[in-house]
Amino acid sequence: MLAVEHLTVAFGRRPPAVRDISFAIPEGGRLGIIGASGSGKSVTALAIMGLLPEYARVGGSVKLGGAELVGLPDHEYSKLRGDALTMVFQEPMTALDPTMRVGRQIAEAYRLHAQGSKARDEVLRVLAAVGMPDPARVADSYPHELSGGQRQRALTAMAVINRPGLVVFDEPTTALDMLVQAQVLEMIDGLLRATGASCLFISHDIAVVAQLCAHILVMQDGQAVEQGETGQLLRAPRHPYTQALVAAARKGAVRG
Amino acid sequence: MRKLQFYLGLALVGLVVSAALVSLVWTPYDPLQVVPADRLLGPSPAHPFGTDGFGIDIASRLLVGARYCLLVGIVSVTLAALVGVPLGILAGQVGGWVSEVVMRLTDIVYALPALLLAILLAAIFGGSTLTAMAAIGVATVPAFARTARAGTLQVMAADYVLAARACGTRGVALAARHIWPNIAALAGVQASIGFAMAILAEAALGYLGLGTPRPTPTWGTMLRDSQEFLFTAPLQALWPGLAIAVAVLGFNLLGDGIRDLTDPRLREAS
Repeated sequence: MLAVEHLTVAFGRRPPAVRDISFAIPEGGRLGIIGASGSGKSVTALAIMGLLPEYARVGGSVKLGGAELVGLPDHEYSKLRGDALTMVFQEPMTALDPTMRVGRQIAEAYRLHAQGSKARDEVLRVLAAVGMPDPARVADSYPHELSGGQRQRALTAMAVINRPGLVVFDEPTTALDMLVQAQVLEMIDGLLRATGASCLFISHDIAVVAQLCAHILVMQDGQAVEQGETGQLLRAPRHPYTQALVAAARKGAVRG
Repeated sequence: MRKLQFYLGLALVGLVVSAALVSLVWTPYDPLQVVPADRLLGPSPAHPFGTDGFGIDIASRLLVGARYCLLVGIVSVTLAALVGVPLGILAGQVGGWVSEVVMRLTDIVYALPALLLAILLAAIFGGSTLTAMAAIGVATVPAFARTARAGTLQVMAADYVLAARACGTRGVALAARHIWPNIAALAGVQASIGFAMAILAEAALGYLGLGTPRPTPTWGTMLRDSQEFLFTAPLQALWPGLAIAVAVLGFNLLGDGIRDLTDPRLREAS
């Protein structure tokens, strides 16, 4: 489904933010990327989405369903975005346009890729699919009228309304409190199961990733230090950084 | 306190607007009729602001002058906004060489004083309300373009633009649905301040005889006519000056008021 090979991203003259990253996600597969802030995981996600600023230099290859994405002109790329691949961002507070009703924002994503006048029906359907109790009311609300969890669900609805094959999540639950985080993760899990979409899930929280993803890739300073099946990686981490992460997560679990 | 500023501005602007509206249907005296017997009268119940050197009622001329002040303001600011805002959004959204070209063009226009442009236009077409509006409008374009570009750069960096782009939105749709609504308040502030500048510029052009020609009463030409009698009838210069000050202050306060009321950072603090 998604094949990333030797991906390298550099900004200006600084050393590359991402160095020689390779991974693959099969049809319906889920990969989690773990790393500290500044480790290059978000840059990797933006590179896959083609949303890096113009001055970024991208090397290597990103293939979606066999088609090369690196170097694709923006007007071609934007036809794929929201349709074949999509992304859910970290900050639900700022990722929705404050001047627009939520329903219109979600409908915009639909109308860009689908013909027909059923946008409103589709919006209500997808809002129900992400677990909104009152889709019609939410659709007519402005973002500031919704809670953090509701906004994150609305963002997810906007991303998945066209049933994309690949969904990139960039720390979608980091800004939420623990209880809401668990609910949103459950919703994401159900949604991916129902649509059969592949998923790239980025987080600094190894417990969150382990809950959702079958495979994990660990990043440090722009490089992939370890990659493997989730259970294997948690049982026997090889790289010192992964070992520290797993140990820290265990301690947290015991204390919690 | 901030609301006070906004309402005071609204009140002063409202005063000017109502004066202009009233002048359409009624003025105490004919603002063009010369009455030699009534020259340079002081304020009296019959002429609350007195009469000018032609014996014309100053109150009537002030009312009609408000109409021209607003007309020039509206047309020149609208012209400037219609050209400047799309240019600014284009520069901010596309960036690169497009931004460079747009910004250098605005620099050139910016370096050219409105007055010089007005003199040029007046020399070619003869001074009129139209040349004054065109000159002021063109001179105001850079302010709108720069404001719109700065706002666009800020909005382009926002998460919701990235999220919209991640769903495939781009180009004109991005500008119309996400950029413009989020910089509209900024443009409104610029329009209000631009309006104040336009009123001042119109008065200056009228004073220099480059704007609306006589006998049409504008505040600028009234100032010009009054300086002849500065020592014998000083109040004559006071009234149009006061009118200009009220209008400029009103639009400036209104602009500041809109900015303060719509700026979320300030809104939360209040």
